Amino acid sequence: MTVPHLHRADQTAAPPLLRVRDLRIDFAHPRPAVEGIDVTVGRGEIVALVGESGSGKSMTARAVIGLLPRGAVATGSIELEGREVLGASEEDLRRLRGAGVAMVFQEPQTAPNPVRTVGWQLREALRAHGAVSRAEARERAVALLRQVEIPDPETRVDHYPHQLSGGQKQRVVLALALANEPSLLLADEPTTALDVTVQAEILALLGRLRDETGAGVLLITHNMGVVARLAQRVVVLREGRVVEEAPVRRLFAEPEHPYTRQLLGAVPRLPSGSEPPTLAPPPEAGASAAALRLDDVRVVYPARRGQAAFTAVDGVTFEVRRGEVVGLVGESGSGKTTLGRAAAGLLPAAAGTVHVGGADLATLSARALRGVRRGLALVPQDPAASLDPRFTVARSIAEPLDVHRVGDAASRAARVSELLDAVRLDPGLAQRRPHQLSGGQRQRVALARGLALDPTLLIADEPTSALDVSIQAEVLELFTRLQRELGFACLFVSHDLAVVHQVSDRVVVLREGLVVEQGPAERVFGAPEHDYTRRLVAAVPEPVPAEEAQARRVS
Amino acid sequence: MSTAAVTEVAPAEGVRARRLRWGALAHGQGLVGVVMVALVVVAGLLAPVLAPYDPTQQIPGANLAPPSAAHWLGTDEVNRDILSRVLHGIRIDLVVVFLAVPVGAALGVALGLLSPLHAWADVATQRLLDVLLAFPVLILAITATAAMGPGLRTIAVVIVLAELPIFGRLARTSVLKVRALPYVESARVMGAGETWLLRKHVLPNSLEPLTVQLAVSMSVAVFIEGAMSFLGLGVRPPDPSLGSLIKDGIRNVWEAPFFVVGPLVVVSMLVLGFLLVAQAISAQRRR
Repeated sequence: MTVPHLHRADQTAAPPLLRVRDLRIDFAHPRPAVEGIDVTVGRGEIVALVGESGSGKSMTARAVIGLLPRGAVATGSIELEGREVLGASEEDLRRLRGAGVAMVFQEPQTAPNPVRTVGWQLREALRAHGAVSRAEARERAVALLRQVEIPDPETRVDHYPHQLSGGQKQRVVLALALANEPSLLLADEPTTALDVTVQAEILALLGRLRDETGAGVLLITHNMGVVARLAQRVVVLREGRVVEEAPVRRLFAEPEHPYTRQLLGAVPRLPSGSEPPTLAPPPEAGASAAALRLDDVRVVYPARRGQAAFTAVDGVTFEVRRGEVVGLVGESGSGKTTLGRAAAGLLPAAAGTVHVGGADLATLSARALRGVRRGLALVPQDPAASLDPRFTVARSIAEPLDVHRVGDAASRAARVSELLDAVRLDPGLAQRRPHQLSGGQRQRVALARGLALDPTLLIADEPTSALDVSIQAEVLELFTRLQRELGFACLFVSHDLAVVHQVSDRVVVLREGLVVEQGPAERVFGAPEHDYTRRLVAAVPEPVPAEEAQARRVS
Repeated sequence: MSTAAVTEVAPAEGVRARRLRWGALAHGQGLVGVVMVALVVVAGLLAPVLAPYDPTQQIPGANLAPPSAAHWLGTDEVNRDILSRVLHGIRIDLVVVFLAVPVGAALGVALGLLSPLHAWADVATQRLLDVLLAFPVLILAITATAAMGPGLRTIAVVIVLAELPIFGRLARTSVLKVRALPYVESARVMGAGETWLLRKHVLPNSLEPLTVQLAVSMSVAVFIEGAMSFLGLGVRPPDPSLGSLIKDGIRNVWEAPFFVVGPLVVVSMLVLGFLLVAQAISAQRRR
């Protein structure tokens, strides 16, 4: 079976750089992780392997570099420059890694060894494939850092990973991968852990590196925006099978498979500049006390041994009116999570006041605080830890009722089934424990728990950022519907501008602890006033192929 | 809605989860460990029934006799039946293992659980535990014996003091970790009080890592009892204990090399059994 793809002149003669045929990877698992995948990557080509968690995309990449976990059995064929990788000896694989294929890992925080300098790690990579003298290796290391566009490489080469920012660390990881001039780069979610503005830089760099080195890139990602920016060809995976393969423009313009369409449809988008902003009617202002009001709030993490006190948030003023959803956006380190925690009363404000439902959190007695908190709920970020692993779903949802001694056992049980129904969960799940649920189901349970006492204010800290796009779309849709029905106010903390745009009435943009801009969502994202907001909005990788996006921006 | 059906499922689910948690003890090294410990425990509990003689009874004419049909493990230098003494000696270890260790563990966990609630109390408790940890157990044992005189009570106190800081530290660490988890913070934000959080979330989720330590501590306790009695700091003659039996055996090893075998086998079984249990539980947790 041949799948049509971009043919380049040099590809017709020589075998493609990477040819994966009928790859199957089996575990002792109900279903094989990968069931017959075919992928080819040509020289200088960027192919994206797209899919949600469990689609087998990372397993495929690991098979290519011979790093399958123990107990995995791979069959089929993986040819790299005409040589078979599957079944190759460990010695052959070792020669292949680095020089033939190199891997760019996902997590720049942990990928470099923290106790060695950047230069040491680059030299180690260089020396793994042939003796290089110390001086030569250093020279080469500096050149590599220059290649990945790290400023002042002669100094940086002696730095330790913790002295670099997240984006620079990812550049170092790239330099490590490039050290032995591999012909194929495997990039496994190379920008997932980065902020959007940094992500945009790294993606641009990856593109330039491909042009310079002529290496092929197999890009593994779940982010359609990243695919659109970088890839030439896209292979869509689902449950270990290829559902669609197409050049990037065609895939985005006319996706054939329903799953691809669903995937593309699930991606939250920002309005493009050409569309006129549709202004939602603003919720009636000043009708009653705001659900949450922050006045000139400063949050300081006190000094600890050898570390000066750190002001995470300073001079922040905004309010969340009753029934309104306010999105709090910012990049990592902007203080958005800190502010969310201060609003929930988990952190004290060093200066300024936090009013919840008209009551100043700082002046309340413990008892009064508990009363105020009856109308407050938190939906945490990480679905793996948002529920007590020992509690059944029913017990988790009923916990607020138990805490505040609302009703008797029967009425609580009735409320639980009502809430399960509201978040569209099967009542049969009531006696399950969190480990028996999917991430999306867990976040629904967390949402149901938050709504148990009909709160006036819900604080949601990145409630969907750990979920797959299609699951995220469902949860967001559910959230919006419930918010409209129940009319609770919400402070929605997120780094994802498109998600915030979708759910929020108003937006507060934070940068390094300061409010940069705030206003109605449509206005802030449609016509940002502040330079930083503009950069933030521009950096969001839109699920529109690169050239078209450019064309649109020019027109 | 199918509330009736749902409540019916509940106990079955709970049982299944518990079965999973203790499943490690139903096969492989866990099972071997449980069987070893169980054999010794049963032998100790049934000592009055099983023992052919009174542990302090002196049998005329049987001085340092080798194993025979009448005396399976032989007799000691004052004509007492060693099997009877070993069986009764086990009971001392049972008290130590199943009373002193759990008491020390419970006190330690209570300290670890409560001390982080208050900054100053926390510092004070931790420094106190530092002091206790700094004492080698045997020095602690000698000091305690000097103050209280030798005896079972002293052994128990020493073991409680030795286990207290270990459990205090472990419990505190897992409490601090669990307290910062999102589900605990969610409960806090919805208005749950500190006692509610500790009782419902923190304690149950902190205890599981401690089960491994409990099994390890039990094996160490057998060891401490043996060492103390061996040094004459523990149980006073003529009462038997495994440690004092080993001491007597070593003294007579030239004339009666079989003497020390019985008590040594029992001590080894207990120590090894508890270690196997600990390993099995921790392997299960890692999975």
